[in-house]
Amino acid sequence: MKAIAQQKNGQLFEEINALQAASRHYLDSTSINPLVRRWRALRHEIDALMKVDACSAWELAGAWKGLSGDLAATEEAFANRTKLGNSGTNRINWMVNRLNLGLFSGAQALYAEVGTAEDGYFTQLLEEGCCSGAIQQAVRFIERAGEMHIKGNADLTTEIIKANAILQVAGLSDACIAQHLDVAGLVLRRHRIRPDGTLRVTSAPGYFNGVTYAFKVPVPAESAFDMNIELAEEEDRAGIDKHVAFDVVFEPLSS
Amino acid sequence: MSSSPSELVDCALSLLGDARSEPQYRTVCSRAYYGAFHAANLFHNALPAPGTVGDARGRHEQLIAQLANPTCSKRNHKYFVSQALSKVLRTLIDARVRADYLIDTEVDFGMAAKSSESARVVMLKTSEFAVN
Repeated sequence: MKAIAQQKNGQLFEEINALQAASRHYLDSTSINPLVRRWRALRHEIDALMKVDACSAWELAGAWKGLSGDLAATEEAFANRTKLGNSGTNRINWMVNRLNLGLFSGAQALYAEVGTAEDGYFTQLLEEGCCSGAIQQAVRFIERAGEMHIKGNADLTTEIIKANAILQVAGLSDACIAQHLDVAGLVLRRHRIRPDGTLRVTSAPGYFNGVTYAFKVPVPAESAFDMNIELAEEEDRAGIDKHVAFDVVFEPLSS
Repeated sequence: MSSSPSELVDCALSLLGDARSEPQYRTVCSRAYYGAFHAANLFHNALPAPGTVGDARGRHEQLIAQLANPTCSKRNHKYFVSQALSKVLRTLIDARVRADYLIDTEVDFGMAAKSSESARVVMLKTSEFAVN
């Protein structure tokens, strides 16, 4: 997911987005390669910006640190940015970076603040809200947007409403989903893979009804299966109750 | 005459090699799912005790639920293999539903390839853990 660029700092955000698009893994800051060299060079530009525009610089610093999978430093940078006030994009970029780091509960909390139809980002952020597992929240925003005659992505809206219907019957809340997704985030961080999840809603009454978050992993199919075993073990440690209506799965990027 | 799960998966892999059109991709997804379903069902039947069905309805949904909720000891590695199988079956059944029920949605070569590859791994893992 891309950070949202803003005014003259847009070029730096674009460079961060380009670095992110170059790999499905977090950058290894200890390695020496063109991507890491470019990443290190950006640090100097962000530090220089800090002296004249701390708000933008902290936001960029958070996105920059997120590229290396540095969870604590990313959170700290965006928290520092927020202490200086809200610009409109800082909480959105924080949410995007939390999604990129596999912090789905945290992303849901921010989505509840920034995804409203009233704030003007409803259409743009519906997919991010969906990725965070905030299905019930997204449905509330969709309903409110409907009252305001705002239309989002029709296919995505349909999928979210179908998912919500299945999850409601199963009694699974957004918080339950986020807890489950957070465990997947933990496993992905261990493998230094940036989350790239897709919502799958399978609705075939009498055959199979279920909501599945499938995360693409850039590994062979056998390794993806082993990662699913690892995920199941972590889910067990986290005390996650398994309900047929919902699960999270790793699937190989391509065969 | 009868067919084994591995023959169904081999059939899916073979069909994929010759598949050039969407109806053929759909057929691959369907064979791949059923091969994986039967392999996973044999794995589940060989566990010391059946998994919990919960609210699941229909044999396919029930198997996915049972694999996700095994009742054997967690010290038995098959407990977590069972849960991983449940996860993979979800992606395969989703592709199968799209392939056979939702003909107004696109099913491409990539989805067919992913289904057949996932089914191959299900065969591999169920065979591997059947003897261990």
